[in-house]
Amino acid sequence: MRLREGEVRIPSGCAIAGILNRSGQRFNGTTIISCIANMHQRSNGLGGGFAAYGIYPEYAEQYVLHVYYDHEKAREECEYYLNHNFNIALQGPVPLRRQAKISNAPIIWRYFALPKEGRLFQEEIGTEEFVFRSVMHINSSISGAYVASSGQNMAAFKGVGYPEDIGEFFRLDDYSAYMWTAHGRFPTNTPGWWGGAHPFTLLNWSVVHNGEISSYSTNRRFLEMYGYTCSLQTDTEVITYAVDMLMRRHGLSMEDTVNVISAPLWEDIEDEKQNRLRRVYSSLLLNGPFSIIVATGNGMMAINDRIKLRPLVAAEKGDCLYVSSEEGAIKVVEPSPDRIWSPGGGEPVVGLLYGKEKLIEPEPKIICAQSA
Amino acid sequence: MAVIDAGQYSQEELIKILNNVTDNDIEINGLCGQRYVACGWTKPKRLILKGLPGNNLAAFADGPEIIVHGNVQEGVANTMSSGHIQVHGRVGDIAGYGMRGGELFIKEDAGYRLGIHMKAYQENKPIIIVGGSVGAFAGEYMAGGTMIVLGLNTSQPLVGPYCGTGMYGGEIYLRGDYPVKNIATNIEKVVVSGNELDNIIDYLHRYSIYFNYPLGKILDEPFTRLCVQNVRPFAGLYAGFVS
Repeated sequence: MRLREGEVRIPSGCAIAGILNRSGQRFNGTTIISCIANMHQRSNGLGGGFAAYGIYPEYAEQYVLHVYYDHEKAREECEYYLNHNFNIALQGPVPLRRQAKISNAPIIWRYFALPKEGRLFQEEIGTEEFVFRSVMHINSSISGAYVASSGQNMAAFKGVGYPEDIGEFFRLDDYSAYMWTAHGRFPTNTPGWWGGAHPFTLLNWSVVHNGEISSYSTNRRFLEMYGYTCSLQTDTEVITYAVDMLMRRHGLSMEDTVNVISAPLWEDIEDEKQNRLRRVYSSLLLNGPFSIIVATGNGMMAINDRIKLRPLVAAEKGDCLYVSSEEGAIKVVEPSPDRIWSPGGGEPVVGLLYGKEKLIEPEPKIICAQSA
Repeated sequence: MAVIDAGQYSQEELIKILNNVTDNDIEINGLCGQRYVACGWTKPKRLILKGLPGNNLAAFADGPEIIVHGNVQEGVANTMSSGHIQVHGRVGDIAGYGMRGGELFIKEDAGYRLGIHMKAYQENKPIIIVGGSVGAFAGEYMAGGTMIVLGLNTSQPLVGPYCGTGMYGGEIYLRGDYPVKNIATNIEKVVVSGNELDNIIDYLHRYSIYFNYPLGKILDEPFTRLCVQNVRPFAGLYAGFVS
């Protein structure tokens, strides 16, 4: 007998995991799959995904657009747009291992591309801003096309299914990366669909998230004023755009960004700067329970909501930093870490590649937000 | 004694096998995040766990004796009614959530929300003793029972913020210095020593035996007892008067 909602208990709750090798040494995707598979019970088969950094070193300069299409017509339309705006060095379907556990997959293509100089000149904007606007355009204006990732030397592999099956489907054992993040999904308020699986990415950013952003609408309305269009029907999308706006466009430091998205309670705000950040960016406070891993090419930051309503564990072993929803997911791949701890609420765990001091380098040319 | 290698089974198989073991003594090796071990057990079985038991170890349990050689994930002793748990390592968040009886001995640190909603009734008095430090919201909404935090070998503050918020019963004992601002405002703080420690000396003594730590060193520092100032601290919160 098929049980309906309310008659069955699903003891899930989303899972996140991340591994960074600070020395930049690359390792293949089976490790992160083992991590996330160890937390199988936390997902319910309606979403899984991975972000991988350092997988396309031969094309490190190119922006790699992984795009999902509902139908061929969407691909034609999107490729017409891409050909008009980008010089595409290479394009083709993303290699997949078809299997019974993953069904209803969209058409999945990738494009290694750089914006056309002429287009940048016409638009009077920098490369990153151009790619950002292109992603927003595809997601919101090309029906049936969704950008899964758009960064350099990185990609997101995500879809509907258990994360270990999604990893198998995308043949992650064939890729080597110096940093991986992963997500197992238990969709709560929003549909479980391919575009809505985590990670949510933009340029080099990727975010995996366990929790619920109750402030989604407030955050979205604020971000829309700056040209961010939320089209993927999931709360996590605003986190990606919020960190992109704060750190890439507004040039906030990581500490200041943390003070915005996971601000201390008013009574705990101590200095004038914190106070101003809290006021100026009050609409970017992420309210509700969350644990997230925010990653870029330089490293990652794992953080909880300010009162830690979701679990998060971190561990170190040699050059490697591990973060995860559960300790077991770390121990399954690293049985004897040098150090293991539970970070407090609003207390970021930061891992950067050796030689890097920030999550992102300042953009060569700062561009003010214009109406998109 | 039954010996089980957890690594050979899936989560569901392991729980099924455990529930069917007739032996009184069970040893489980190779645990790595398997949840619901001893969940809802009502028999006084003895369990030795090696590795890392997952979430909700001994949740709703009534009677088992469990010794864990390693850390434990979230929710250990969740709503436990009676039994004894020793963790030779650290535990994650919400340990002892709504605990109604029994004992939880933790050698190292505990995460957020330790013993929230803990309660006592007649002879059922839960006790949690933590060797290291505890995260925020320890003893939140606590209604009964005893919590002891020793702060041995830890680099963090003894207790995180909002300790005892909404607490209306039970006692928390803190050893040595603690951040006063992290304690809820309506909580009475009394430094206790000598025979005022009679209530907890047995637990301290057993901690020192279980985890091989000299009792004398534990008693080196003064203890502070936290408890509520009156029986109904929030009686007038909404109405503005006490009916």
